[in-house]
Amino acid sequence: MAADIKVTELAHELRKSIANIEVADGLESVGTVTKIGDGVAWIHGLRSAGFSEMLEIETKDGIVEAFALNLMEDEIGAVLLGTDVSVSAGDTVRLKGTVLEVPVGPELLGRVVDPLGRPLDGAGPIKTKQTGLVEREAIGVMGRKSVHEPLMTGIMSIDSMFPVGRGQRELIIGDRQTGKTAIAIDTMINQAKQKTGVVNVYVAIGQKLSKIARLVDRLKQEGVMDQTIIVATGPSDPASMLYLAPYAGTAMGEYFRDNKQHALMIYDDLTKHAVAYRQMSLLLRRPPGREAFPGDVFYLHSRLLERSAKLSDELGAGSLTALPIIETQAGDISAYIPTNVISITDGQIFMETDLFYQGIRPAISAGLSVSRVGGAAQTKAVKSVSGHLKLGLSQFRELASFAQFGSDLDEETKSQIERGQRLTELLKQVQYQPMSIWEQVASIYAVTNGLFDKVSVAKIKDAQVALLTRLWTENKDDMRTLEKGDKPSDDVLKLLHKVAVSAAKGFEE
Amino acid sequence: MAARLSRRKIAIFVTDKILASNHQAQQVLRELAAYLVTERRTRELDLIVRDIEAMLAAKGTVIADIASARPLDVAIRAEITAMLAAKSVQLRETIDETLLGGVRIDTPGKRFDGTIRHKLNALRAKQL
Repeated sequence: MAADIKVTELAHELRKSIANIEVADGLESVGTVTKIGDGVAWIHGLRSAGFSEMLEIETKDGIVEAFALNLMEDEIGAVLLGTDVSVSAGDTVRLKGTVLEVPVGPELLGRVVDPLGRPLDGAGPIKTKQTGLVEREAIGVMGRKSVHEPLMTGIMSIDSMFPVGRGQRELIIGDRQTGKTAIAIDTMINQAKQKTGVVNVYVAIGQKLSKIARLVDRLKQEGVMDQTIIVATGPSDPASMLYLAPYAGTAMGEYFRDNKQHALMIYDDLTKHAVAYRQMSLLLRRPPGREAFPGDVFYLHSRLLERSAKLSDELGAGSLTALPIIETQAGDISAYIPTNVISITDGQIFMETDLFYQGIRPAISAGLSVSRVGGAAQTKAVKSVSGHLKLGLSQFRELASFAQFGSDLDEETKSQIERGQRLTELLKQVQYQPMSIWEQVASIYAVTNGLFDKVSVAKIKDAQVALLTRLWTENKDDMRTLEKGDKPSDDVLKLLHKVAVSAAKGFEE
Repeated sequence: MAARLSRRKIAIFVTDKILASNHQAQQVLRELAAYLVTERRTRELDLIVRDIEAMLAAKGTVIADIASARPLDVAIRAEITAMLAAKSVQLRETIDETLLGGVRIDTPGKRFDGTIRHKLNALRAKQL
């Protein structure tokens, strides 16, 4: 007991002494703004500033925050987090003594915030108990576990051919207007519909504000907003905000990962992020490299995506899955940023413009898409029915173009083409309607086993709806069992077979 | 072409020269002026002066700018000199009535702001 009192007194005395010292030496380090423009301030003095440390610029209209990115012999280059209108040369700059942190926690769910965690939705202040570091080192090797749990996107072609696991980084890549964001939104909606408990963090990097507003409305309509955080930056925001957005969003997602939960990050899109970073780097006079991007543009994305991980059991087995989006120009995936991000991620879903305009939506290219780690995480039920789906579909696309030249094909090729046409038709899916596990299993089973071979291609979707309706109305319990994701029993397969055959009858040619 | 000398290196060189010449700085400053004109770096003059002041301060000679609302008396001047705790302290005083009261001390790279205006500003910022 006595020892306790002494320790308390010790701490008290120490605090008092520190306070006295602080009062006695009121001299604080200050620097001066020497140049300002394009959101970058050059500062003289502050030799003790650290990399990425926060600075406060005292202007006539109040404090403007900045962070130090260029530490040079004679000056510091700092990027402003706000407008540079009120900052002028000669303003005093102080060190804040901290690096950038953002509020994190469940209080952010359902909110639209900026990269500093300030609310943008007008729904009142956000009071979180914790803050998280915007720039944080990724978890080490021992803190990780291999990806083994599925993260269902609800999109049949992805879940069957390129499954995504919790903790995986799967790139969505394609030209403009090919449905990249739609896939990400459907995945978020599916998390709510299937009640997976996965928290969505959507990071909009330089997206049109009208697009973000539409997205928020849609998510509210679908009832997904309650488990979603939106980090929004628009095209008129400073480049520093666009640069910070994905890191800030990841800090918010990491809170759930580190608290034994699962989170899904969507970075829409990293092309704009790289462009914002290029702008900052050029203004900071860093030497330009390929396509004028700075030398560390690979590290920019690799350190971001490395934070997505499946944690080990000792660390609570939480996960952070990432779906980064990259926009290509005229389908060129060999440009600088696309190749970088392809090599960082664990696979990519490639969207093709041609497919999109042929009406094959989602316009996923079966040949160029891949999931490098998702196989181990695929739902067993879906895996059991979609074995050769990807190969069959790729072969079909090849054969289909080849078959245009002549009609005298052998029977096997013909049947392969016909099966492929039906599969392509089946994998078409309307936006905002993610499918549950049993729906996917039943649909794929019916087509890959040739049960819909006599149904005309145009009526495949109708036959599918008939099959699913009958299965749900007549065999609810079996479908609920199938929904659990385990490999379907022979009885269930027999049931699927029987119902599919009878459902197909109404649509045969 | 020779590499451009950093301001810091110039400041270190000039400071050493000034201190070695026992504070007879005229000759050193003339040389510096000639160098700046030749190198077309006269625009950096203010920053170089600041760097030299910072270097001097690091070596014990502090030049402090004191701003106050009213002229300082001897006792306060002595207190400020003691507070700066340097081998040699030179004070440059200015009177600025808009500070309302108190004193602001600027030494190279450091500042103590004990003016009423600063305190009022801080209070306003807190309320906002």
